[in-house]
Amino acid sequence: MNFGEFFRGPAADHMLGLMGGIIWGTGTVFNLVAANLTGVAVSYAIGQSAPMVAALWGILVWKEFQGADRQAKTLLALMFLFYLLAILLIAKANTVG
Amino acid sequence: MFVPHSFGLALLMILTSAICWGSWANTFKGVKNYRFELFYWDYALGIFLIAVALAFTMGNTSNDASSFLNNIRAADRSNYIYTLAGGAVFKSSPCGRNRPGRSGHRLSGFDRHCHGGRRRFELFVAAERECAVARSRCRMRRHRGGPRWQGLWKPHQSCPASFSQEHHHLPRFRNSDGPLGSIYHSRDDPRKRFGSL
Repeated sequence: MNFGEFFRGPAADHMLGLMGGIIWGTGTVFNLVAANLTGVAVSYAIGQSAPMVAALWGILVWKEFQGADRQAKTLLALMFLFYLLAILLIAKANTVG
Repeated sequence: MFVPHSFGLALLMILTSAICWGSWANTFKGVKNYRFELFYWDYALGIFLIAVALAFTMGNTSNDASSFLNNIRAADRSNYIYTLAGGAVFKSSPCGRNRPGRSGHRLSGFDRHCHGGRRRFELFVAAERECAVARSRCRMRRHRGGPRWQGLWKPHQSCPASFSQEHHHLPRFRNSDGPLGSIYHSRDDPRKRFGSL
């Protein structure tokens, strides 16, 4: 691979990369700023539910589970349930504010 | 700098971060004919730009010691070192291994816990394929072409790779033919197709 390809890359693809970085950076700054009030343990732990959001993208937008069997769907539902419970419990564990 | 004053607002910001992390997987899906490694340069640039922008907006709401530039001036060398080291460790965590391979798999799924961290580790084609095959049976099927051949590796049907890329991992095996060598030989003549074992 040659880094020169970077400058020949399509503008639209560059924009997508920049956009992805901007979104991620916003999230990270928000997380760390919120940590000033809640503490890093709470903010980072809840931030770790990002895979749940990714699963939502996969299911709702990219249709990656189309045609999945009942067992897979049950497991998915359980995953969402446990993620939400985890967020709830960690939020409840917060004692400040 | 801006600091949330209620837990509700803080929680909202934290949930926003959970939504934002993993944005590379979704944005990369829109990318055509552009390598992931190069995409990631754009991604890093985006992170830098938004960090600077937020430093001078959110980080600069008051003109006291906590405002961005005052805070930078007040920091001593150990602060910088810890910050740089933290960034280096964070960005080189090993979940980058799940990054999309060059043969075009795009996972939007479940490696999102490594929010953003698709690091510099280069995986060679052979290793990528190994991972891909191990991870999912349907991907393996796609890789291997026709249903008649599902159980066997048909190198000339999958994406082309140079000899060295295809074989760099072989020295790990005691016998370069490997236990599966005899099976391959019955299907692919190695002298005709360099890709086969």
